[in-house]
Amino acid sequence: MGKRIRIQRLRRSALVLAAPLVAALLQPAAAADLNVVSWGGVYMKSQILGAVRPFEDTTGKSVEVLSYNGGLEEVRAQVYSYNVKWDVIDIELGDALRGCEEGLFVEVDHDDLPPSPDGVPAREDFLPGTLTECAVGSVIWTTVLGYRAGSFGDDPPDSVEDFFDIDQYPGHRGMRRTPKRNLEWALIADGVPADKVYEVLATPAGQDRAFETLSRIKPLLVWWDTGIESIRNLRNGDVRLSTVWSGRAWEADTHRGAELELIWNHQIWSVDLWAVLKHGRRQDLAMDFLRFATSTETLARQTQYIPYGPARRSAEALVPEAMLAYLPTAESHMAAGALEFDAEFWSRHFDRINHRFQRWLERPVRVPEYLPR
Amino acid sequence: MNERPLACALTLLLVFSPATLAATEADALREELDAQRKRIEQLEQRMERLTEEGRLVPTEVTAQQAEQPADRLEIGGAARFNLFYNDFDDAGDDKYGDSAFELFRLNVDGQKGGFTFSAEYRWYPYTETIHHAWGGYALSETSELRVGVNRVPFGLLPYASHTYWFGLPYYVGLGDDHDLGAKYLYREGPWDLQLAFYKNGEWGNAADPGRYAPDVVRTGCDPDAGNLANCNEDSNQFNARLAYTLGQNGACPTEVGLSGQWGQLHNIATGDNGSRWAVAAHMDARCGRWNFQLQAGRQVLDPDNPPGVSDDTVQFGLLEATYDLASRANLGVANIAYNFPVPWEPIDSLTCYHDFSVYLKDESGFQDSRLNTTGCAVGAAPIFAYLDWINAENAPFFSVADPFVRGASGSDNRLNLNVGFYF
Repeated sequence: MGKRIRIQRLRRSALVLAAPLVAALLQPAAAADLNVVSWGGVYMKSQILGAVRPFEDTTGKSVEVLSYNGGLEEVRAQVYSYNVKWDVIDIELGDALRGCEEGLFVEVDHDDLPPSPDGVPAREDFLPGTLTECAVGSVIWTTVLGYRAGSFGDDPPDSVEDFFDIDQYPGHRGMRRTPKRNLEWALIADGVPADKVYEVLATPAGQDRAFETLSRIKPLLVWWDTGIESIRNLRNGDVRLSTVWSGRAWEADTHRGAELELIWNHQIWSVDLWAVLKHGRRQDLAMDFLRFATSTETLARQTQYIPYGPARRSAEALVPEAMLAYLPTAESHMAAGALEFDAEFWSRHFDRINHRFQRWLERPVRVPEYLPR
Repeated sequence: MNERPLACALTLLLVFSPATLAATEADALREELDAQRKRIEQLEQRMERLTEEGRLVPTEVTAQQAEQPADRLEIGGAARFNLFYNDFDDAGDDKYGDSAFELFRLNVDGQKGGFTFSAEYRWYPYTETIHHAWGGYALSETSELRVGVNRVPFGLLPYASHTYWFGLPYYVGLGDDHDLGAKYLYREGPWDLQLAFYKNGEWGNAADPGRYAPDVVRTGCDPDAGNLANCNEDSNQFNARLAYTLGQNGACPTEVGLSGQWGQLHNIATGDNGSRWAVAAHMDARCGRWNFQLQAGRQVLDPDNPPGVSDDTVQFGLLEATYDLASRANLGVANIAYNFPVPWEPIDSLTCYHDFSVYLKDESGFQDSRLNTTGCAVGAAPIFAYLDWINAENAPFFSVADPFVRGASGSDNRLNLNVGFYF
């Protein structure tokens, strides 16, 4: 009995003394020194663990990480109003090019970027196409096709053509609610060679062809906006096949037991880049973060948390072995007809094609069951 | 940042710390504990708020969150007009047809908790009537119960036609009929089962033909005055409809099904009950932009009339009109439609169709009824229009006085443009 009382006293005493410490720790965080914006989910996690926290540890500055779903709308609103709250943004290549043209981002001095550990200048170390006037590449990421293992028996789909073949592989399909990549795959499924896709898609006839092919599966399409939706749709059985970001699929496989199979045939890979918004009040610190986040060490560290290919050659050798099988840049994956996402094409054509895409979304393909009476 | 585990871990660590510290009053400790608990609650609420704002990405949405329907109330309606030319009506010859207000309708749809409701009321120039008004409850993910004035589950659903003019199934009471009763719906995968019981037609008063969909009506019946004809009314009707969709998630989903209907024909002159039954087999295929519909069925009305009143026909009524219907007949439907890809910016949809339906009467002296409608439906929100050429042999609302009985030879034509503003 006496021992029990003593333990209770010890607990109470410890709690009283520690309470101020706990309270201090749990105080609402003050405004961060820097706001960084990225895509959420496991990709954001890889950036927080691979870049943000090491940056905080190194500089003593606090960083708040916010999530968004892409696009330039909010960036324009902030920059045009000089009310910039997002200091650094992780952005797709097409938006990086357009944003730079529109004067939304600060220009980057490539000579000011850190060289590789063995002294190779950044200009030579970065993969072709990953350094732009206003943004610096971080990872090569990709969109592939996925399905739940075992859901198609002994004859699972293994190509883009199969994705569009709803006779042989019936069931709902998941696609991201954007014309990007969907139209490319539609043309490939309709027989256009991968290396001619953008040439064909640039013509009105090519766009008609892509939309008509997409229309074949439109009644079965379920649209997703965030990466987690694409995975959830597959896991719930709402769709049998879906386009997915390979990183999200890897995370669902390894951490959630999703048991997804990926189809690497004609993966469409792209680059994500860091850019600094104009008119921000913390541009120097933002540029420090950009340099830190695109260093060889940081890019290699990030691949411990997500299997996306680093944008620097010097970081490739540092990728953990367990991640190699999931990398978009793996030799076997690139050899399966991989298509590089043409950000410049979309930068020029996106507005017009997207307008048509949005109208196409609203229009039914099948005869509607409920014509108004 | 995930602060909840941090808070819990620190609290637990401190509670079990071996440090030997001076004891204090128990009340003070409780107060401190309460304060920390409140702080943890505040942090949890903050985390939930951040998650809602999208600043923290939830790893999973719970099944309960995903399935909880939000309360909603939607109000809509339509106003529609007709521009038409009848080749059997000389009055329209010199003025190139006529125009007429067709209807104004008001719709209310909603959901509250696990209940859904839907209602539509219509005002025509010649009458006003309920279209439907029911409340529903989801018994499970796959089944639902609807009570009130609801669509009778029979044949091709929701419509055995593509045009606002409908096909013959509607006019013989076997298409888009709405009655007062309860309906059980079960849908799982390709299977669709509907079972229903209707006490009577939607208005209850079978003497009044002012209703949206045809029922057996007893307009003109007055046994006290010696008017013993047309004294039947629908009562205690059972429906069962079973359908299976072949290739449900493929390029050409095709629903095949069987429907059956049985009910009483109560005669107020005799006080006895006759019967009315119907069966149909139906197919509805939606292949790409094409739609093919087929239906074959039979309807038998077996009234228990007073002596001297013929059993060969039974009186039906809708929209304040009445007509006699042959008691025994076979029904056929063959429809085809194509939904065009539309290149024009303002046009939302363009569907063209040819609908054919036939009512083949058993009685040798009765001419069969046929309805051919060729037309297009154009949607350009908020406007929706049907342009139809209707060719009719012995169909109601054309020149023949007793279309569903003896009828006449020859056919009538109507060119009709129906324009509706939907909100």
